[in-house]
Amino acid sequence: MVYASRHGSDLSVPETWEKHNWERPYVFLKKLEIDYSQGRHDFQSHRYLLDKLVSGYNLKHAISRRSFTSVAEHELPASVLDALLRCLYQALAQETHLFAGVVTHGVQGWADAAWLLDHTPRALKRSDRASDTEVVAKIIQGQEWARGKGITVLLGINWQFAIDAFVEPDIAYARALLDVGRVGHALLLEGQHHGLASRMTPAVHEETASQMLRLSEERDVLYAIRLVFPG
Amino acid sequence: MYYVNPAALVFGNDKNECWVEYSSGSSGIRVSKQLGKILAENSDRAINEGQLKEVVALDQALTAQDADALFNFVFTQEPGESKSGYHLATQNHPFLDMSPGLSALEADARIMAAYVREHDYPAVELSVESLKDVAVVDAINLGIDELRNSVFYQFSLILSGTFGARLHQPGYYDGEHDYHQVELLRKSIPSGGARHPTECFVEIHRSPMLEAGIYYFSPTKSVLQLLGGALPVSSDAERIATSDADWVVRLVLCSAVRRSMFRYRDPRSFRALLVDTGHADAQVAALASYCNWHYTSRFVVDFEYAKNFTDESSDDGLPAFSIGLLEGWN
Repeated sequence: MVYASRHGSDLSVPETWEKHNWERPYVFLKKLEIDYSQGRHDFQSHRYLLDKLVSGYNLKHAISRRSFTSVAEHELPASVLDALLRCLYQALAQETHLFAGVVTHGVQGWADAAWLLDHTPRALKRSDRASDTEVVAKIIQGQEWARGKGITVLLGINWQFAIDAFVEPDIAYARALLDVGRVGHALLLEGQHHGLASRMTPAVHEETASQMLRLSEERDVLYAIRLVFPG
Repeated sequence: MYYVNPAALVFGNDKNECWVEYSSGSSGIRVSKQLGKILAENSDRAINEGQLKEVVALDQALTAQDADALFNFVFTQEPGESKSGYHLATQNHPFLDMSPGLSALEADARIMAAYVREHDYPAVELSVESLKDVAVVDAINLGIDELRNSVFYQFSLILSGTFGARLHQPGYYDGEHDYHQVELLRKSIPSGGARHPTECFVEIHRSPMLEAGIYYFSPTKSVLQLLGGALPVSSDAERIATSDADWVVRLVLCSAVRRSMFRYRDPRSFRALLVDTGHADAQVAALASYCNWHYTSRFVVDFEYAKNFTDESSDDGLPAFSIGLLEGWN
Protein backbone atom coordinates (compact mmCIF):
# COMPACT_ATOMS: atom_id res chain seq x y z
CA MET A 1 0.00 0.00 0.00
CA VAL A 2 1.41 3.36 -1.06
CA TYR A 3 0.46 6.56 0.67
CA ALA A 4 1.27 10.17 -0.12
CA SER A 5 2.02 12.77 2.53
CA ARG A 6 1.32 16.45 2.26
CA HIS A 7 1.01 19.16 4.87
CA GLY A 8 0.79 16.71 7.75
CA SER A 9 -1.81 14.29 6.39
CA ASP A 10 -1.42 10.91 4.67
CA LEU A 11 -3.57 9.75 1.77
CA SER A 12 -3.73 6.08 0.79
CA VAL A 13 -3.54 5.48 -2.96
CA PRO A 14 -5.98 2.81 -4.26
CA GLU A 15 -4.38 -0.26 -5.82
CA THR A 16 -5.48 0.39 -9.41
CA TRP A 17 -4.04 3.88 -9.40
CA GLU A 18 -0.77 2.64 -7.93
CA LYS A 19 -0.50 -0.30 -10.32
CA HIS A 20 -0.84 2.03 -13.33
CA ASN A 21 1.60 4.64 -12.05
CA TRP A 22 -1.20 7.16 -11.46
CA GLU A 23 -0.44 7.93 -7.81
CA ARG A 24 0.23 11.60 -8.54
CA PRO A 25 -3.05 12.21 -10.43
CA TYR A 26 -4.93 10.57 -7.56
CA VAL A 27 -3.30 12.87 -4.99
CA PHE A 28 -3.94 15.87 -7.27
CA LEU A 29 -7.64 15.01 -7.63
CA LYS A 30 -8.26 14.23 -3.97
CA LYS A 31 -6.70 17.55 -2.97
CA LEU A 32 -8.87 19.31 -5.57
CA GLU A 33 -11.95 17.53 -4.25
CA ILE A 34 -11.34 19.04 -0.82
CA ASP A 35 -10.24 22.49 -2.02
CA TYR A 36 -13.05 22.88 -4.53
CA SER A 37 -15.82 21.69 -2.23
CA GLN A 38 -15.47 24.99 -0.35
CA GLY A 39 -17.71 27.79 -1.52
CA ARG A 40 -20.56 28.07 -3.95
CA HIS A 41 -20.17 27.24 -7.65
CA ASP A 42 -22.91 28.41 -9.98
CA PHE A 43 -23.82 26.96 -13.35
CA GLN A 44 -22.24 28.82 -16.26
CA SER A 45 -23.27 29.20 -19.86
CA HIS A 46 -20.51 29.05 -22.47
CA ARG A 47 -21.85 31.53 -24.98
CA TYR A 48 -19.31 30.79 -27.68
CA LEU A 49 -20.87 27.31 -28.14
CA LEU A 50 -24.43 28.50 -28.63
CA ASP A 51 -24.13 29.51 -32.29
CA LYS A 52 -21.95 26.65 -33.44
CA LEU A 53 -24.81 24.61 -34.93
CA VAL A 54 -26.84 26.88 -37.19
CA SER A 55 -29.20 26.43 -40.09
CA GLY A 56 -27.40 24.78 -42.97
CA TYR A 57 -25.13 22.86 -40.64
CA ASN A 58 -24.68 19.27 -41.74
CA LEU A 59 -25.63 17.69 -38.44
CA LYS A 60 -25.47 14.09 -39.67
CA HIS A 61 -21.95 14.70 -40.91
CA ALA A 62 -21.05 16.08 -37.49
CA ILE A 63 -22.66 13.16 -35.65
CA SER A 64 -20.68 10.66 -37.72
CA ARG A 65 -17.42 12.57 -37.18
CA ARG A 66 -14.09 10.75 -37.53
CA SER A 67 -10.60 12.06 -36.90
CA PHE A 68 -8.61 12.58 -40.09
CA THR A 69 -5.97 10.09 -41.14
CA SER A 70 -4.85 11.74 -44.40
CA VAL A 71 -4.71 15.32 -45.60
CA ALA A 72 -5.89 16.85 -48.91
CA GLU A 73 -3.21 18.40 -51.07
CA HIS A 74 -5.06 21.62 -51.88
CA GLU A 75 -4.66 24.83 -49.89
CA LEU A 76 -7.13 26.12 -47.31
CA PRO A 77 -8.97 29.32 -48.26
CA ALA A 78 -8.28 32.31 -46.01
CA SER A 79 -11.99 32.44 -45.14
CA VAL A 80 -11.60 29.20 -43.16
CA LEU A 81 -8.82 30.72 -41.07
CA ASP A 82 -10.94 33.86 -40.56
CA ALA A 83 -13.82 31.72 -39.26
CA LEU A 84 -11.58 29.81 -36.86
CA LEU A 85 -10.04 33.04 -35.58
CA ARG A 86 -13.48 34.54 -34.97
CA CYS A 87 -14.42 31.39 -33.07
CA LEU A 88 -11.22 31.62 -31.01
CA TYR A 89 -11.65 35.28 -30.12
CA GLN A 90 -15.26 34.64 -29.13
CA ALA A 91 -14.16 31.81 -26.83
CA LEU A 92 -11.17 33.62 -25.32
CA ALA A 93 -13.33 36.65 -24.52
CA GLN A 94 -15.06 34.39 -21.98
CA GLU A 95 -12.23 31.99 -21.06
CA THR A 96 -9.86 34.79 -20.10
CA HIS A 97 -7.44 32.43 -18.33
CA LEU A 98 -6.54 30.81 -21.65
CA PHE A 99 -4.47 31.97 -24.60
CA ALA A 100 -4.01 30.68 -28.15
CA GLY A 101 -1.37 30.31 -30.81
CA VAL A 102 -1.99 29.32 -34.42
CA VAL A 103 0.31 27.63 -36.94
CA THR A 104 -0.59 28.01 -40.60
CA HIS A 105 0.58 25.62 -43.30
CA GLY A 106 -0.86 26.08 -46.79
CA VAL A 107 -3.46 28.76 -46.08
CA GLN A 108 -4.10 31.00 -49.10
CA GLY A 109 -2.69 34.49 -48.62
CA TRP A 110 -0.94 33.57 -45.38
CA ALA A 111 2.70 32.75 -44.79
CA ASP A 112 3.50 29.36 -43.29
CA ALA A 113 4.24 30.56 -39.77
CA ALA A 114 3.36 30.48 -36.09
CA TRP A 115 1.20 33.30 -34.72
CA LEU A 116 0.20 34.35 -31.23
CA LEU A 117 -3.28 35.80 -30.74
CA ASP A 118 -3.16 39.23 -29.19
CA HIS A 119 -6.15 40.98 -27.65
CA THR A 120 -5.24 44.63 -27.26
CA PRO A 121 -6.11 45.24 -30.01
CA ARG A 122 -6.99 41.95 -31.67
CA ALA A 123 -4.08 41.02 -33.87
CA LEU A 124 -1.87 38.11 -34.78
CA LYS A 125 1.77 38.44 -33.78
CA ARG A 126 4.02 36.44 -36.06
CA SER A 127 6.80 34.46 -34.41
CA ASP A 128 10.23 34.56 -36.01
CA ARG A 129 10.98 31.01 -34.84
CA ALA A 130 10.82 27.89 -36.99
CA SER A 131 7.30 26.46 -37.19
CA ASP A 132 7.47 23.89 -39.97
CA THR A 133 5.65 20.57 -39.70
CA GLU A 134 8.74 19.02 -38.08
CA VAL A 135 8.43 21.46 -35.18
CA VAL A 136 4.67 20.91 -34.92
CA ALA A 137 5.29 17.13 -34.96
CA LYS A 138 7.77 17.54 -32.11
CA ILE A 139 5.16 19.46 -30.11
CA ILE A 140 2.71 16.53 -30.46
CA GLN A 141 5.32 13.87 -29.58
CA GLY A 142 6.29 13.01 -33.16
CA GLN A 143 2.82 11.93 -34.26
CA GLU A 144 2.46 11.77 -38.03
CA TRP A 145 -0.69 13.88 -38.25
CA ALA A 146 1.31 17.13 -38.08
CA ARG A 147 2.12 16.72 -41.77
CA GLY A 148 0.37 18.39 -44.71
CA LYS A 149 -1.62 21.56 -45.20
CA GLY A 150 -3.71 22.64 -42.26
CA ILE A 151 -4.19 24.90 -39.29
CA THR A 152 -2.86 23.91 -35.88
CA VAL A 153 -4.30 25.72 -32.87
CA LEU A 154 -2.41 25.56 -29.58
CA LEU A 155 -4.37 26.41 -26.45
CA GLY A 156 -2.81 27.03 -23.09
CA ILE A 157 -3.07 28.56 -19.66
CA ASN A 158 -2.09 32.11 -18.74
CA TRP A 159 -1.08 31.49 -15.11
CA GLN A 160 -1.32 35.13 -14.09
CA PHE A 161 -4.94 35.48 -15.27
CA ALA A 162 -5.82 31.96 -14.11
CA ILE A 163 -4.62 32.57 -10.55
CA ASP A 164 -6.49 35.90 -10.54
CA ALA A 165 -9.64 34.01 -11.49
CA PHE A 166 -9.32 30.80 -9.47
CA VAL A 167 -6.74 31.64 -6.72
CA GLU A 168 -5.41 28.10 -6.20
CA PRO A 169 -2.90 26.97 -8.89
CA ASP A 170 -4.22 23.39 -8.90
CA ILE A 171 -7.82 24.54 -9.40
CA ALA A 172 -6.66 26.95 -12.11
CA TYR A 173 -4.85 24.12 -13.87
CA ALA A 174 -7.79 21.68 -13.72
CA ARG A 175 -10.19 24.35 -14.95
CA ALA A 176 -7.84 25.22 -17.80
CA LEU A 177 -7.62 21.57 -18.90
CA LEU A 178 -11.39 21.25 -19.00
CA ASP A 179 -11.77 24.59 -20.75
CA VAL A 180 -9.18 23.91 -23.47
CA GLY A 181 -11.25 20.81 -24.28
CA ARG A 182 -14.36 22.96 -24.45
CA VAL A 183 -12.75 25.63 -26.67
CA GLY A 184 -11.12 22.91 -28.78
CA HIS A 185 -14.57 21.45 -29.36
CA ALA A 186 -15.91 24.83 -30.46
CA LEU A 187 -13.10 24.90 -33.05
CA LEU A 188 -13.89 21.34 -34.12
CA LEU A 189 -17.57 22.23 -34.68
CA GLU A 190 -16.67 25.45 -36.50
CA GLY A 191 -14.21 23.50 -38.66
CA GLN A 192 -16.84 20.87 -39.51
CA HIS A 193 -19.10 23.62 -40.82
CA HIS A 194 -16.35 24.49 -43.32
CA GLY A 195 -15.60 20.89 -44.31
CA LEU A 196 -12.57 20.47 -42.08
CA ALA A 197 -11.73 17.35 -40.09
CA SER A 198 -9.71 17.54 -36.92
CA ARG A 199 -7.46 15.67 -34.55
CA MET A 200 -6.41 16.73 -31.08
CA THR A 201 -4.12 15.86 -28.19
CA PRO A 202 -3.30 17.19 -24.73
CA ALA A 203 0.08 15.39 -24.96
CA VAL A 204 2.09 18.44 -25.98
CA HIS A 205 5.75 19.16 -25.34
CA GLU A 206 5.47 22.49 -23.55
CA GLU A 207 9.02 23.69 -24.02
CA THR A 208 9.00 23.17 -27.80
CA ALA A 209 5.67 24.99 -28.08
CA SER A 210 6.92 27.84 -25.87
CA GLN A 211 10.02 28.29 -27.99
CA MET A 212 8.06 28.29 -31.24
CA LEU A 213 5.58 30.91 -29.99
CA ARG A 214 8.20 32.82 -27.91
CA LEU A 215 6.02 32.53 -24.82
CA SER A 216 6.81 34.23 -21.54
CA GLU A 217 7.04 32.23 -18.28
CA GLU A 218 3.42 32.81 -17.30
CA ARG A 219 2.06 30.93 -20.31
CA ASP A 220 2.09 27.17 -20.92
CA VAL A 221 0.55 25.31 -23.85
CA LEU A 222 -1.75 22.45 -22.76
CA TYR A 223 -3.50 21.24 -25.89
CA ALA A 224 -3.17 21.06 -29.68
CA ILE A 225 -5.88 20.64 -32.29
CA ARG A 226 -5.18 20.37 -36.00
CA LEU A 227 -7.83 21.15 -38.61
CA VAL A 228 -7.40 20.05 -42.23
CA PHE A 229 -9.33 19.14 -45.35
CA PRO A 230 -9.30 15.34 -45.20
CA GLY A 231 -7.53 13.58 -48.08
CA MET B 1 15.93 30.30 3.44
CA TYR B 2 14.98 27.51 1.07
CA TYR B 3 11.63 26.78 -0.54
CA VAL B 4 10.20 23.33 -1.23
CA ASN B 5 9.26 22.91 -4.89
CA PRO B 6 5.46 22.42 -5.10
CA ALA B 7 6.15 19.61 -7.58
CA ALA B 8 7.74 17.55 -4.78
CA LEU B 9 5.45 14.82 -3.50
CA VAL B 10 6.41 12.50 -0.65
CA PHE B 11 5.36 8.86 -0.83
CA GLY B 12 5.67 6.03 1.66
CA ASN B 13 4.65 2.38 1.85
CA ASP B 14 3.95 -0.35 4.37
CA LYS B 15 7.58 -1.49 4.18
CA ASN B 16 8.57 1.68 6.00
CA GLU B 17 10.18 3.13 2.85
CA CYS B 18 9.89 6.81 2.01
CA TRP B 19 10.75 8.66 -1.18
CA VAL B 20 10.19 12.03 -2.82
CA GLU B 21 9.25 12.51 -6.46
CA TYR B 22 9.57 15.85 -8.24
CA SER B 23 9.29 14.97 -11.93
CA SER B 24 7.45 12.32 -13.93
CA GLY B 25 10.62 12.08 -16.06
CA SER B 26 12.81 10.79 -13.23
CA SER B 27 12.53 8.22 -10.48
CA GLY B 28 12.07 9.16 -6.86
CA ILE B 29 14.78 9.91 -4.27
CA ARG B 30 14.88 7.63 -1.22
CA VAL B 31 14.88 9.70 1.97
CA SER B 32 14.46 8.94 5.66
CA LYS B 33 10.99 9.19 7.15
CA GLN B 34 12.17 12.21 9.14
CA LEU B 35 13.25 14.13 6.02
CA GLY B 36 10.14 12.93 4.19
CA LYS B 37 7.98 14.39 6.96
CA ILE B 38 9.76 17.75 6.77
CA LEU B 39 9.36 17.84 2.98
CA ALA B 40 5.69 16.88 3.15
CA GLU B 41 4.87 19.45 5.80
CA ASN B 42 6.64 22.25 3.97
CA SER B 43 5.58 21.60 0.39
CA ASP B 44 5.42 24.94 -1.44
CA ARG B 45 6.58 26.72 1.73
CA ALA B 46 9.76 28.29 3.08
CA ILE B 47 12.10 26.25 5.26
CA ASN B 48 15.09 27.28 7.41
CA GLU B 49 18.36 26.72 5.53
CA GLY B 50 20.44 25.65 8.52
CA GLN B 51 17.87 23.18 9.78
CA LEU B 52 17.44 21.71 6.31
CA LYS B 53 21.18 21.24 5.65
CA GLU B 54 21.58 19.59 9.03
CA VAL B 55 18.77 17.09 8.42
CA VAL B 56 20.07 16.30 4.93
CA ALA B 57 23.64 15.79 6.21
CA LEU B 58 22.42 13.34 8.85
CA ASP B 59 20.07 11.43 6.53
CA GLN B 60 21.47 7.92 6.18
CA ALA B 61 19.03 6.95 3.42
CA LEU B 62 20.43 9.61 1.09
CA THR B 63 23.35 9.08 -1.28
CA ALA B 64 25.59 12.07 -2.07
CA GLN B 65 24.19 12.11 -5.61
CA ASP B 66 20.62 12.17 -4.32
CA ALA B 67 21.46 14.96 -1.86
CA ASP B 68 22.71 17.00 -4.84
CA ALA B 69 19.49 16.23 -6.72
CA LEU B 70 17.45 17.45 -3.75
CA PHE B 71 19.26 20.79 -3.74
CA ASN B 72 19.08 21.07 -7.52
CA PHE B 73 15.42 20.17 -8.03
CA VAL B 74 13.46 19.96 -4.79
CA PHE B 75 14.79 22.94 -2.81
CA THR B 76 15.00 26.36 -4.40
CA GLN B 77 16.41 29.59 -3.05
CA GLU B 78 13.62 31.63 -4.58
CA PRO B 79 9.89 31.10 -4.03
CA GLY B 80 8.47 28.74 -6.66
CA GLU B 81 6.42 29.89 -9.62
CA SER B 82 2.69 30.23 -8.96
CA LYS B 83 1.92 27.12 -10.94
CA SER B 84 0.31 23.81 -10.14
CA GLY B 85 2.76 21.31 -8.63
CA TYR B 86 1.22 18.61 -10.81
CA HIS B 87 1.98 20.68 -13.91
CA LEU B 88 5.54 21.42 -12.82
CA ALA B 89 6.18 17.72 -12.16
CA THR B 90 4.80 16.49 -15.47
CA GLN B 91 5.66 19.19 -18.02
CA ASN B 92 7.74 18.06 -21.00
CA HIS B 93 6.97 14.48 -20.03
CA PRO B 94 8.95 12.05 -22.22
CA PHE B 95 6.20 10.15 -24.05
CA LEU B 96 6.93 7.42 -26.56
CA ASP B 97 8.39 9.34 -29.51
CA MET B 98 6.26 8.50 -32.55
CA SER B 99 8.52 10.30 -35.07
CA PRO B 100 10.31 7.11 -36.27
CA GLY B 101 6.94 6.14 -37.83
CA LEU B 102 6.28 2.43 -38.33
CA SER B 103 8.86 1.22 -35.80
CA ALA B 104 7.31 3.47 -33.12
CA LEU B 105 3.83 2.12 -33.96
CA GLU B 106 5.16 -1.43 -33.66
CA ALA B 107 6.79 -0.62 -30.33
CA ASP B 108 3.51 0.87 -29.13
CA ALA B 109 1.61 -2.23 -30.30
CA ARG B 110 4.06 -4.45 -28.36
CA ILE B 111 3.51 -2.36 -25.22
CA MET B 112 -0.26 -2.69 -25.58
CA ALA B 113 0.01 -6.45 -26.22
CA ALA B 114 1.99 -6.80 -22.98
CA TYR B 115 -0.66 -4.81 -21.09
CA VAL B 116 -3.44 -6.99 -22.52
CA ARG B 117 -1.58 -10.16 -21.44
CA GLU B 118 -0.91 -8.72 -17.99
CA HIS B 119 -4.30 -7.29 -16.99
CA ASP B 120 -7.97 -7.54 -17.93
CA TYR B 121 -8.89 -5.04 -20.61
CA PRO B 122 -11.29 -2.46 -19.15
CA ALA B 123 -14.89 -2.51 -20.36
CA VAL B 124 -15.78 0.16 -22.93
CA GLU B 125 -18.94 1.07 -21.03
CA LEU B 126 -20.19 0.68 -17.48
CA SER B 127 -22.09 -2.34 -16.30
CA VAL B 128 -24.99 -1.32 -14.09
CA GLU B 129 -28.02 -3.03 -12.62
CA SER B 130 -30.94 -1.46 -14.45
CA LEU B 131 -34.39 -1.30 -12.88
CA LYS B 132 -35.90 -0.21 -16.18
CA ASP B 133 -34.58 0.62 -19.65
CA VAL B 134 -35.79 3.62 -21.65
CA ALA B 135 -34.83 3.54 -25.33
CA VAL B 136 -33.14 6.68 -26.64
CA VAL B 137 -33.35 7.34 -30.38
CA ASP B 138 -29.98 7.18 -32.13
CA ALA B 139 -28.89 10.68 -33.16
CA ILE B 140 -27.94 9.50 -36.63
CA ASN B 141 -31.65 8.82 -37.34
CA LEU B 142 -32.81 12.27 -36.32
CA GLY B 143 -33.24 14.96 -38.95
CA ILE B 144 -34.89 18.37 -38.89
CA ASP B 145 -38.40 16.94 -39.38
CA GLU B 146 -38.13 14.57 -36.43
CA LEU B 147 -36.52 17.15 -34.17
CA ARG B 148 -39.13 19.77 -35.01
CA ASN B 149 -41.97 17.52 -33.90
CA SER B 150 -40.76 15.78 -30.76
CA VAL B 151 -39.18 17.12 -27.59
CA PHE B 152 -38.13 13.56 -26.73
CA TYR B 153 -36.25 13.32 -30.04
CA GLN B 154 -34.47 16.55 -29.13
CA PHE B 155 -33.53 15.07 -25.77
CA SER B 156 -32.35 11.91 -27.57
CA LEU B 157 -30.18 13.94 -29.94
CA ILE B 158 -28.42 15.68 -27.06
CA LEU B 159 -27.57 12.40 -25.29
CA SER B 160 -26.97 10.10 -28.24
CA GLY B 161 -25.16 12.78 -30.28
CA THR B 162 -22.67 13.21 -27.48
CA PHE B 163 -22.27 9.89 -25.70
CA GLY B 164 -23.73 7.35 -28.14
CA ALA B 165 -21.45 4.83 -29.85
CA ARG B 166 -21.13 5.48 -33.57
CA LEU B 167 -19.04 2.37 -34.09
CA HIS B 168 -18.28 -0.53 -31.77
CA GLN B 169 -15.02 -2.03 -32.95
CA PRO B 170 -14.37 -5.51 -31.52
CA GLY B 171 -10.90 -6.57 -30.44
CA TYR B 172 -8.88 -8.86 -32.71
CA TYR B 173 -5.42 -10.35 -33.01
CA ASP B 174 -3.38 -10.36 -36.22
CA GLY B 175 -0.97 -13.25 -35.67
CA GLU B 176 1.04 -12.49 -38.81
CA HIS B 177 2.13 -9.11 -37.46
CA ASP B 178 1.64 -9.96 -33.76
CA TYR B 179 -0.75 -7.02 -33.60
CA HIS B 180 -3.45 -6.71 -30.94
CA GLN B 181 -6.37 -4.40 -31.70
CA VAL B 182 -8.28 -3.78 -28.52
CA GLU B 183 -12.04 -3.26 -28.36
CA LEU B 184 -12.94 0.40 -28.93
CA LEU B 185 -15.92 2.69 -29.26
CA ARG B 186 -16.07 5.59 -31.71
CA LYS B 187 -18.28 8.50 -30.78
CA SER B 188 -19.25 11.88 -32.19
CA ILE B 189 -16.86 13.56 -29.79
CA PRO B 190 -13.11 13.00 -30.07
CA SER B 191 -11.14 11.25 -27.36
CA GLY B 192 -7.38 10.68 -27.15
CA GLY B 193 -6.65 7.10 -28.20
CA ALA B 194 -10.45 6.52 -28.50
CA ARG B 195 -10.50 5.81 -24.74
CA HIS B 196 -13.76 7.74 -24.19
CA PRO B 197 -13.53 7.80 -20.39
CA THR B 198 -16.42 10.28 -19.96
CA GLU B 199 -19.67 8.66 -18.87
CA CYS B 200 -23.00 10.37 -18.36
CA PHE B 201 -25.41 9.93 -15.45
CA VAL B 202 -28.78 11.52 -16.11
CA GLU B 203 -30.94 12.78 -13.27
CA ILE B 204 -34.52 13.37 -14.40
CA HIS B 205 -35.91 15.96 -12.00
CA ARG B 206 -38.88 16.98 -14.12
CA SER B 207 -40.22 15.52 -17.35
CA PRO B 208 -43.65 15.05 -18.93
CA MET B 209 -42.55 11.61 -20.18
CA LEU B 210 -39.84 10.07 -18.04
CA GLU B 211 -40.02 8.80 -14.50
CA ALA B 212 -37.92 10.85 -12.06
CA GLY B 213 -34.70 9.17 -10.99
CA ILE B 214 -31.04 8.61 -11.79
CA TYR B 215 -30.21 6.87 -15.05
CA TYR B 216 -27.02 5.79 -16.78
CA PHE B 217 -26.85 6.41 -20.52
CA SER B 218 -25.52 3.25 -22.15
CA PRO B 219 -23.50 4.21 -25.28
CA THR B 220 -23.75 0.84 -27.05
CA LYS B 221 -27.39 0.06 -26.23
CA SER B 222 -28.63 3.66 -26.59
CA VAL B 223 -30.83 3.32 -23.53
CA LEU B 224 -31.25 5.11 -20.25
CA GLN B 225 -30.84 2.55 -17.49
CA LEU B 226 -32.70 3.43 -14.32
CA LEU B 227 -30.49 3.07 -11.26
CA GLY B 228 -33.01 4.32 -8.71
CA GLY B 229 -35.88 6.71 -8.18
CA ALA B 230 -34.32 8.69 -5.34
CA LEU B 231 -32.66 11.90 -6.49
CA PRO B 232 -29.65 13.17 -4.57
CA VAL B 233 -29.89 16.24 -2.38
CA SER B 234 -27.55 18.83 -3.82
CA SER B 235 -26.70 22.50 -3.70
CA ASP B 236 -28.56 22.81 -7.02
CA ALA B 237 -31.95 22.07 -5.39
CA GLU B 238 -33.11 25.69 -5.36
CA ARG B 239 -32.07 26.30 -8.95
CA ILE B 240 -33.90 23.14 -10.03
CA ALA B 241 -37.04 23.96 -8.04
CA THR B 242 -37.33 27.48 -9.46
CA SER B 243 -36.83 26.47 -13.10
CA ASP B 244 -39.90 27.11 -15.27
CA ALA B 245 -38.88 24.42 -17.78
CA ASP B 246 -40.93 21.32 -18.60
CA TRP B 247 -37.79 19.22 -18.61
CA VAL B 248 -35.26 19.73 -15.84
CA VAL B 249 -32.38 17.31 -16.04
CA ARG B 250 -29.01 17.21 -14.32
CA LEU B 251 -26.19 15.61 -16.33
CA VAL B 252 -23.29 14.39 -14.21
CA LEU B 253 -20.19 13.63 -16.29
CA CYS B 254 -17.93 11.11 -14.60
CA SER B 255 -14.62 9.68 -15.72
CA ALA B 256 -14.00 5.93 -16.02
CA VAL B 257 -10.34 6.39 -15.14
CA ARG B 258 -9.29 2.78 -15.73
CA ARG B 259 -9.69 3.06 -19.52
CA SER B 260 -7.10 5.81 -19.76
CA MET B 261 -4.82 4.35 -17.07
CA PHE B 262 -4.72 1.01 -18.84
CA ARG B 263 -3.53 2.59 -22.08
CA TYR B 264 -1.28 5.35 -20.77
CA ARG B 265 0.66 4.34 -17.67
CA ASP B 266 2.29 7.60 -16.81
CA PRO B 267 1.04 10.29 -14.45
CA ARG B 268 0.98 12.95 -17.14
CA SER B 269 -1.72 11.20 -19.19
CA PHE B 270 -4.36 11.98 -16.60
CA ARG B 271 -4.72 15.41 -18.28
CA ALA B 272 -6.69 13.76 -21.07
CA LEU B 273 -9.55 12.98 -18.67
CA LEU B 274 -10.36 16.63 -18.00
CA VAL B 275 -9.90 17.59 -21.65
CA ASP B 276 -12.27 14.76 -22.60
CA THR B 277 -14.89 16.10 -20.19
CA GLY B 278 -14.52 19.53 -21.80
CA HIS B 279 -15.23 18.13 -25.26
CA ALA B 280 -18.30 16.23 -24.01
CA ASP B 281 -19.66 19.23 -22.12
CA ALA B 282 -19.22 21.43 -25.20
CA GLN B 283 -21.03 18.98 -27.47
CA VAL B 284 -23.98 18.86 -25.05
CA ALA B 285 -24.07 22.68 -24.97
CA ALA B 286 -23.97 22.97 -28.78
CA LEU B 287 -26.63 20.29 -29.40
CA ALA B 288 -28.87 21.71 -26.65
CA SER B 289 -28.66 25.15 -28.22
CA TYR B 290 -29.43 23.69 -31.68
CA CYS B 291 -32.70 22.28 -30.23
CA ASN B 292 -33.45 25.48 -28.31
CA TRP B 293 -32.81 23.82 -24.96
CA HIS B 294 -30.80 25.59 -22.28
CA TYR B 295 -27.61 24.05 -20.91
CA THR B 296 -25.32 25.39 -18.22
CA SER B 297 -22.62 23.54 -16.33
CA ARG B 298 -20.07 23.78 -13.56
CA PHE B 299 -16.76 22.14 -12.71
CA VAL B 300 -16.63 19.69 -9.82
CA VAL B 301 -14.36 16.97 -8.44
CA ASP B 302 -16.46 14.39 -6.64
CA PHE B 303 -15.41 10.79 -5.98
CA GLU B 304 -18.56 10.15 -3.94
CA TYR B 305 -21.29 10.78 -6.53
CA ALA B 306 -21.08 7.51 -8.48
CA LYS B 307 -19.49 5.44 -5.72
CA ASN B 308 -22.36 2.97 -5.45
CA PHE B 309 -23.48 2.81 -9.06
CA THR B 310 -21.13 0.12 -10.41
CA ASP B 311 -18.35 -2.20 -9.32
CA GLU B 312 -15.95 -0.09 -11.37
CA SER B 313 -16.71 3.00 -9.32
CA SER B 314 -16.18 1.18 -6.05
CA ASP B 315 -12.89 -0.37 -7.27
CA ASP B 316 -11.22 2.61 -8.95
CA GLY B 317 -13.42 5.59 -8.30
CA LEU B 318 -15.53 7.19 -11.00
CA PRO B 319 -14.91 10.88 -10.27
CA ALA B 320 -17.43 13.44 -11.47
CA PHE B 321 -15.78 16.40 -13.26
CA SER B 322 -18.78 18.32 -14.56
CA ILE B 323 -22.38 18.82 -13.54
CA GLY B 324 -24.73 20.32 -16.09
CA LEU B 325 -28.30 21.55 -15.93
CA LEU B 326 -30.34 20.83 -19.05
CA GLU B 327 -33.70 22.54 -19.42
CA GLY B 328 -36.25 22.04 -22.17
CA TRP B 329 -39.72 23.39 -22.95
CA ASN B 330 -42.57 21.57 -24.69
